[in-house]
Amino acid sequence: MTTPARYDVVVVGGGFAGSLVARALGDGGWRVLVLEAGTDGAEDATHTFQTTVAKTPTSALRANALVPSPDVLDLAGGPGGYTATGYLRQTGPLPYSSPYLRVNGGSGTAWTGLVPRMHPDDFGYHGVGRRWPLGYDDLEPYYRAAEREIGVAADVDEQREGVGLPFPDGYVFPMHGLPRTYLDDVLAEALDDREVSDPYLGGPTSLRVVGTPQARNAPPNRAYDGGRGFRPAGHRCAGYASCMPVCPEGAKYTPRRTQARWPSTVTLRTRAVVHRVARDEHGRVTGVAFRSYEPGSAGRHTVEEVTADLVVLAAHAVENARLLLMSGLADGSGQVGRNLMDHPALLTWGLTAAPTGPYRGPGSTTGIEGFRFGPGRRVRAPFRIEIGNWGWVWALGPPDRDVDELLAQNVFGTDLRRRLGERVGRQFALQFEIEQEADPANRVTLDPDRRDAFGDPRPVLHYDLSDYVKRGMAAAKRVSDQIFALLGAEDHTAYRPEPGMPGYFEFDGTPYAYRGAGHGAGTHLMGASAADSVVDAWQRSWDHPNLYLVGCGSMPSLGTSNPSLTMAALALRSAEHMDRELRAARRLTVTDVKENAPS
Amino acid sequence: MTGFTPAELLATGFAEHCHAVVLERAGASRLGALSAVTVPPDPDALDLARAIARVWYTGVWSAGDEAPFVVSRRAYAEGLVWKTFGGAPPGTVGPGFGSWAAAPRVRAAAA
Ligand SMILES: Cc1cc2nc3c(=O)[nH]c(=O)nc-3n(C[C@H](O)[C@H](O)[C@H](O)COP(=O)(O)OP(=O)(O)OC[C@H]3O[C@@H](n4cnc5c(N)ncnc54)[C@H](O)[C@@H]3O)c2cc1C
Ligand code: SF4
Repeated sequence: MTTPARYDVVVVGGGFAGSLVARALGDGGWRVLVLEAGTDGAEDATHTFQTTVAKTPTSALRANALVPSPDVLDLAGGPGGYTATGYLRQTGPLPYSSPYLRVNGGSGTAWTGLVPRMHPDDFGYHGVGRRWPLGYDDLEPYYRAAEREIGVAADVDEQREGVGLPFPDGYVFPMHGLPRTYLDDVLAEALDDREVSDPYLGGPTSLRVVGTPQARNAPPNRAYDGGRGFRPAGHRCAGYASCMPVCPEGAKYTPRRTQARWPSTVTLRTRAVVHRVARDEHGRVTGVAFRSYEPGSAGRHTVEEVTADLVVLAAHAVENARLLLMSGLADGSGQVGRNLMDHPALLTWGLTAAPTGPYRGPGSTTGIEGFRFGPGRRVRAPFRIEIGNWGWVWALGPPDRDVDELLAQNVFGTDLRRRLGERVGRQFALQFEIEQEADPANRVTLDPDRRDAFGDPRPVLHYDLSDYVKRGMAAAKRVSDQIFALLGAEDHTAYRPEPGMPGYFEFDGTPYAYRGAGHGAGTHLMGASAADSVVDAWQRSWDHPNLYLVGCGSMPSLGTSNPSLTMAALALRSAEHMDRELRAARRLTVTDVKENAPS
Repeated sequence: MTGFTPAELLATGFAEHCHAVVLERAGASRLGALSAVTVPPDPDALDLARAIARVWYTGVWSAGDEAPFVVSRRAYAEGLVWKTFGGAPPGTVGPGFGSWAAAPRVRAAAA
């Protein structure tokens, strides 16, 4: 038996959070090993995407039977409820509908790249879910650090006025805000300063179309960084309209950009699936064991071990929980795997009065922010409205659907051409991302009966939506109805218990269907006490002082912002803490050695 | 059948390949029957006509019990459905930074 290799830090997962932590610690001079379960994955992603029939979030990935990624096609709806096939087993009343990617770079290779900050109000307590042990002010400097690392394009005045976010004086984003789509202008023209009513609120809410911060390249802002400016990595966004799942231009941030900045102190091993975190009798973790495989090897692999002073799990909310449960760690509170959250997204779709030219540019460049804050969130879940620029693709599927529908009615020739043009050229969608509160009953457990190709138990998910969330959806739908009326748009929204709508349910006699926004969170949430949370405000396990759990799994609530910017800010903040801890331990060891040295 | 002129179809650079795919999948005799189609068309000919229109419009060959597949990158990139509203399939064309801010330009179908 060879002695296991030794590192200062081992990071499990080369995704969003893991790549950031590895960079920060590597820059601090620590020897970091990143173990990534997936393959390298960069090869021919655009080609794979173009030649795959269903353009889902995993469609730019080559299939990896040994380390599969859950996808939206694993779920199907129907009159008797939903069914789930594929990697994840699901036992809840409603499906957890979000994919995640197990490939180097993680889910952030396929993400859309919308990066709004959370609002100070989101860190407060509103009578449901869980409390944050820190606030906006604690995180603010790390938001700026994350915006630099990711390369964010946004207009600071618009974020201040349109969202109500506080920024330090003189701050500007690294790049200027992305131009709005033509669709955004059409909507703003019809909606700005008009009022709609929300059934759960007393007074009316005023509408305003506000730019969304983007993780894709725009002209750099010369005023950034006290006039030093910003130099973006990659090309300027050219409007390929495929950011999710792959940007052919390299204009969108992916964690691979951070990996390219890793110093030589960071080592990456792909095809390395960690299945156990080891601990000693004092409660400290000592390292990890992982399975090293070749693609297409039908599960044959070798087990290797590494030891480290510090272990960081960054394997995604679901996989972090799975790994902790498999290792029997960090669960003094009984909360590991619990409080699984997502942003359930209610979609509404229709046709604008005149052509707007969908599928040009990024998936969404603006949103409507007025339903995110205020007293309403004590009664019903708050929501953020994304203006969806890619037709009905998320709501129903790509225009192939429209082609098939017309062909089925025997429409051919110029008639087919004309009717498709009129229809697809006017399609748009509203995407209501609803906050879901932490609920311990929504959880990840292990499936002893169904194992993966390496013989390890697969995750089982139990998921449901509370009435609080459902009231949020009901409010969202009512708001949508009024927006469509103001626009003079044809509303084609219809929710049915059919295969393409696994998230179908009825509430107060009204049908709804939701999709998953990909924002899995909460499975190792942070809190102020070891009694009811898994990690502290530094994302450090309460039970094991040298084990850190990073990613959205640590977030006690999601607010209504896409979570990755906040997750990145948290990761950078935690990395500073890890660095301090490593330095303190090193000083201790050096003193020990001196004291024990023979005089 | 597609509503696009032969010149427009040839300009896609996909015509020959498309013909070959259809021949391979459908066979010359079914294709011959389609050319000779009269009103009312028989169901088999109609199915084939739909499959041909579909592959031109989306790049996806899907007929009968066969699993649908994207014929080629070119077939996807030249899908006619996108041209009906002046667009391009995602991931194939970068019309330039900020191009999305302008009103769409649509070429009308040849009358
Ligand atoms: C379609 C889609 C669109 C999205 N759009 C947005 C958006 O616009 N804005 C936003 O803020 N967020 C978005 N998200 C969410 C965002 O992608 C995630 O929040 C983020 O990627 C999570 O980062 P992570 O590092 O925690 O996990 P991941 O990025 O999933 O990375 C985890 C990594 O760990 C690896 N791993 C897993 N298990 C093991 C193991 N046992 N051993 C070794 N390695 C392992 C995985 O292979 C993976 O590489 C989107 C998500 C999806 C799916
Ligand atoms: S719109 Fe196109 S160029 Fe811009 S980020 Fe998306 S895929 Fe990349």
